Amino acid sequence: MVFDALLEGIAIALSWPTVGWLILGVLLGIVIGAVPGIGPNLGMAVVLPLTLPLGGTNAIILLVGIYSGSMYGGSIAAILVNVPGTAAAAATTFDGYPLSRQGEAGYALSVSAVSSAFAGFMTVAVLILLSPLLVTIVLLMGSPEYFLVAVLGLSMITIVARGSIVKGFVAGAFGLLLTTIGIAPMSSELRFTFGSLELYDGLNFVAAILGLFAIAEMLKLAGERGGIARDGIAVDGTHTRGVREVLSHPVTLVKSAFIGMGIGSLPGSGAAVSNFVAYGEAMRSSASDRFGRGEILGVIASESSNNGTVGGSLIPALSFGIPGSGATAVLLGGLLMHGLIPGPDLFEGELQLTYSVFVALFVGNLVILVIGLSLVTRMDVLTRINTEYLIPVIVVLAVAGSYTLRSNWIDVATILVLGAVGYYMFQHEYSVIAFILGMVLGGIAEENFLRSLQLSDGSWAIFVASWPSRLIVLLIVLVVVGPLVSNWLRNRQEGPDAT
Amino acid sequence: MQSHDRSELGLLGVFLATAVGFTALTFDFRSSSAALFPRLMAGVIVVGVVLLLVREYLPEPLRRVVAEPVSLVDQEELEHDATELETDTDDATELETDTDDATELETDTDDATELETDTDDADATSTRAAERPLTPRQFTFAAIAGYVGLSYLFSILVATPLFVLAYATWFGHRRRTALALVVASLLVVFLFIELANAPLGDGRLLPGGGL
Repeated sequence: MVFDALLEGIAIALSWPTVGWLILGVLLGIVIGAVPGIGPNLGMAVVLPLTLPLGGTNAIILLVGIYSGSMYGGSIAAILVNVPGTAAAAATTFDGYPLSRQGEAGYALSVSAVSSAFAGFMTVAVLILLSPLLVTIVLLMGSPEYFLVAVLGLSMITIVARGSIVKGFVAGAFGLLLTTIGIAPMSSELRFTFGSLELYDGLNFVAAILGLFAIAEMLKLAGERGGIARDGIAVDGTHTRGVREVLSHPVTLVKSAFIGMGIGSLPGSGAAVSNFVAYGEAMRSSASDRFGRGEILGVIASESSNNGTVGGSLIPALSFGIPGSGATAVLLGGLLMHGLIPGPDLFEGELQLTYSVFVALFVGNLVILVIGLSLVTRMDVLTRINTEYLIPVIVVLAVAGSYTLRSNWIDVATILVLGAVGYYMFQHEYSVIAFILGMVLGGIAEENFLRSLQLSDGSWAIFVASWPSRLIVLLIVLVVVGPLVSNWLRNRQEGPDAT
Repeated sequence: MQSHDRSELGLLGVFLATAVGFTALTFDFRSSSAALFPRLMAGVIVVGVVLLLVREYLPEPLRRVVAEPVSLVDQEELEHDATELETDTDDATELETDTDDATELETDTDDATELETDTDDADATSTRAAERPLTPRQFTFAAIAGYVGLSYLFSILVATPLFVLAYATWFGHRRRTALALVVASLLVVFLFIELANAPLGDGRLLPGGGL
């Protein structure tokens, strides 16, 4: 059954126009990643309403293409102008930019393309091999486990995100609360609609995503000055040497790719973390003293880890509906928007679609390799785009996109209000990702919560009745209490003066 | 109290008012199951907001839990390492510049000139900003709110060029740039109309008349 689904997945991913959407997605992703200030979250969010006319498979493959392409694209600005296009390429600046200053920008960019692509190939291959095991785990889940997994996801995101744990829980609960507007699951009672027909179906999570990522981001950018890059960046250096260089460091490449995959598979942590960890590991295991001054191993480590993260972050997103990062939260929004529910639905009824996404990711990395090596000399233009010009166009995309969702003005009001709320949440370190997760998972969480209680005649003991439930409850306790205990121990070791 | 703190208080006020308002409304529900989840979530929000509001008065261990960031990954350490490395990179670059040839010195001079120009631009911008009643961020939000209002009344198609022109004028873009931005944003609107058959020409006062 799994093998048949894999073959069907390959056929879907390589069919026309699906492969065309994939190539378009990767190209868009590279541009989105290369322009400092956009990034995959915002880029995917504004494209989301445009995927409405596409079928679920094509839409998801387009979004996955953007996600994967932007991971590579982020390195272009990092190498050329010392400004990471995305947080996932922050560690690339350490050695990529010095190489650029030494006249080796082309070499660094080709190393980045080859590392990104090879890491993508490897991690997707492992993802495909792991999927039968994932299918088994996912099919063990019932309603109580699903509700608990949603709580676990929120807890992990709260801990990993910046800011205090209480702020994270408030943000997540606020997102969950807003999803209760509209018709209640199970009882079909109208809630918080104030008699308005436009609120019967509740707030739209795609509009929420657009408000939190597009409008809040534009408000942030509005206070910053113009373009980031200066003119006159020369992209020179040998490209073929870049390919040889990556192939001559297989250990760093493989290790970093799987560090990225491992970290990506933890809900809440993403490429923003993995590129630092992989860079640190490359530094630790190497005798070179050139790190920070143009050591190519640094570029290989950072770039292979962030593309490895893409495959890893799809594990919790597709199997349990828990995004590993902001970009996978948007991807999750895309899945739900097209009626695809993460979990057993995707791993049983729609297994061929799940495989087609994995295969698309594989092919997408091939596109990154080809584009990265062939168009590498023309990439500098992307870093010179003035962000002031982007703001009005992105606002128009967000407003028009939100109204397109359901032709409902509530969605336009949602982006405006949540844009302002999201901006202040960001300012005061309230986890926007936890809020989005609450908005995206609210419906699923409440339905599974109520169904569990219905199954147990109202007894909350159902949430610790089976061994998977107990395991998840234990994980939630560990996730919430663990960092608090380690903080307490660290403070105790440092003594009272440390605080 | 600083404005920074006031804005966080405002945010907490929004959370609290929503939670309390939603809880009050649940008492009118016919079904208890419909009320359970919103009440639970509102409860988490109320407890969290109260803890955040009184964090300065809490006993030290509890204050740390409420106010200080905890993380599975030590972000601060990562950032510290990053800053250190960046400093090293800057040092290395400086050293290279010292030993490099005249061409690079020329580039540096160009950079310096550009930096000076940037500083001049920044000064001009800040002088301009000082004369204005709104900061760029406040203006952007007001412009977006106005855009949404106009779109509701007259349609997104009609409001879009007005919003983009207002934005470009306020930020002092050249006429040609403003025109290019208007064209780009109208293309976006027509893209949605073509691809998704979206009724972007409809407004309350202009039903179906925008196209």
